[in-house]
Amino acid sequence: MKKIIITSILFAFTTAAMAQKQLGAVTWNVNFPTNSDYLTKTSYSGGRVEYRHFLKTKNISLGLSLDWSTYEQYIPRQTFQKPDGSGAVTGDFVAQAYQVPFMATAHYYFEGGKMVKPYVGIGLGAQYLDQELYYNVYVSDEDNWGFAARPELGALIYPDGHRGWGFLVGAYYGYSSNKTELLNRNSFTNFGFNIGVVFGE
Amino acid sequence: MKNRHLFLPLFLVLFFACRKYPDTDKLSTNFVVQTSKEPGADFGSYKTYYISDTIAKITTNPNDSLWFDADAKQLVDAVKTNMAARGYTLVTNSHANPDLGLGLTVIKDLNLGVVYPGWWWGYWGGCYWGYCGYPPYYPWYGGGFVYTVPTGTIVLDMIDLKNATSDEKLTVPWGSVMSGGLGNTANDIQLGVDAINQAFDQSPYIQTN
Repeated sequence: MKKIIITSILFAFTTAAMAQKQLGAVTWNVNFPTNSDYLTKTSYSGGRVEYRHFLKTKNISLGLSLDWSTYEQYIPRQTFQKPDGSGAVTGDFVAQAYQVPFMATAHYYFEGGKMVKPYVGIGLGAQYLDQELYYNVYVSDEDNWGFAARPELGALIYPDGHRGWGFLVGAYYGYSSNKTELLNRNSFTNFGFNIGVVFGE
Repeated sequence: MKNRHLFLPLFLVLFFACRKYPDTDKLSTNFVVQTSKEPGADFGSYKTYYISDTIAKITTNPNDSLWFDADAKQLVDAVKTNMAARGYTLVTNSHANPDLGLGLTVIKDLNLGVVYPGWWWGYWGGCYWGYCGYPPYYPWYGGGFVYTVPTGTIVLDMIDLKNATSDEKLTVPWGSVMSGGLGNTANDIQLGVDAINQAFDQSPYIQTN
C-alpha cells in the first residue's frame, strides 16, 4: 500500500514538474527533540512530502509541506519526587510523541552554479501533536493542535546538471505552540535534518 | 478536478499510516506507584493504627464487594509489615481508638477512568471506623488533580482518626494509588506486595517517633 502511495505521489510530482517551474520532494527526516529533558532521544522515524511553485523571478518559491515523525523513548523504572515534596511516582514508562506539522512555505534561492541550488526558507502552519505515556498495560494520552513555525536552509542538488530530478538536503528548526499539560509545557521544539529526492526545478 | 478526490484518502493514509507503533516490550509488569501526602502532616504524632483483613473490592458485581482470601491477606500483611517497620502499633479492632485507619481497595474488572481521590469511599458503607457521617478529606486534592483508575488498581488510604472528632472530617494525610494488572498474571499478588513496599519506600517520612 505504501509503495503505491509513494509511487503515485512521485508520479503526480513528476507530471506537475514537467508542465511548469515547480518541484515536488519526498525526504527522510531525522529529528532531535530540544523541548525537554523528558524526551531526548533522536527520532529516525520521520518524513516529509512537499510541493514548491516557483514565482516568475525564479529565485522565490511558495509551497506546501506535510511532515510526520515519531519520537519514542524508554524511561527505566525510577522514582520521580514532586518538587514540593507532596508526593512521588515510581514506574517505568515508554514515552512517545507523534508530530505532524502542515505548513505553507516560502523559499529564496541563491545562485550556486549548475548543479547546486542553495536556499533558505520558512514554513508557517499548524501542528498536530500526540503525546502518549505507556506504563504497565495502560496508556495516558494527550493530543492537540498548535501553531507551528519552521525556519530552514538547504540545497537542491542536480547531479547531471539537468534540472528534472535531483536530491535535497536540508536542516531546520521547528517550533510549535502545542501544550502538554501532563508535563506543564507550552511548546514543542526540535532540530532536524532531511535528505531526499526532488522532481522538477 | 477528479484528482482532488484523491487528496483526502491520500492525506488520511499518510496521517495515520506513518506513525510508528510503540515498542512496549521493555515495559515491566511492575505497578506504577503514586503516593501523595498532606504537606504539613506530622506522621510522628500517630502511634497506633488499624487495618481490616478484608479488602474492599470494587467490581461490576455489586455483591462482590469484599475480598478476604489468602491472596488478600498477603496484601494486608504487606501493609502491616511496613507499618510495624516504621514503628506503628496495630490495634486489633477499629473500636480501640487507633490514631490511624488504613483502607485497602482493589478495583477489578472495571475501568473507572478519571476519578477524584476518595471516589472509592462510596464502597465502604456508611460508617468508616466507627466515625459515621464524616466526609473524607484529601488535603492534597486541589480540584484539578485526578487519577486514572483502570482495572487491577490497588488503592491504599491512610486516614487520620485521632483528629476526626475535632476536625469533623476524615483527613487522609497520605495515600497511594498503584496501577498495575492485579489479576492479569500468575505472580500478580507478589507484584501487588512489591507495589505496597514501594509506596512505603518512596515515603520515608512515614515514621513514628
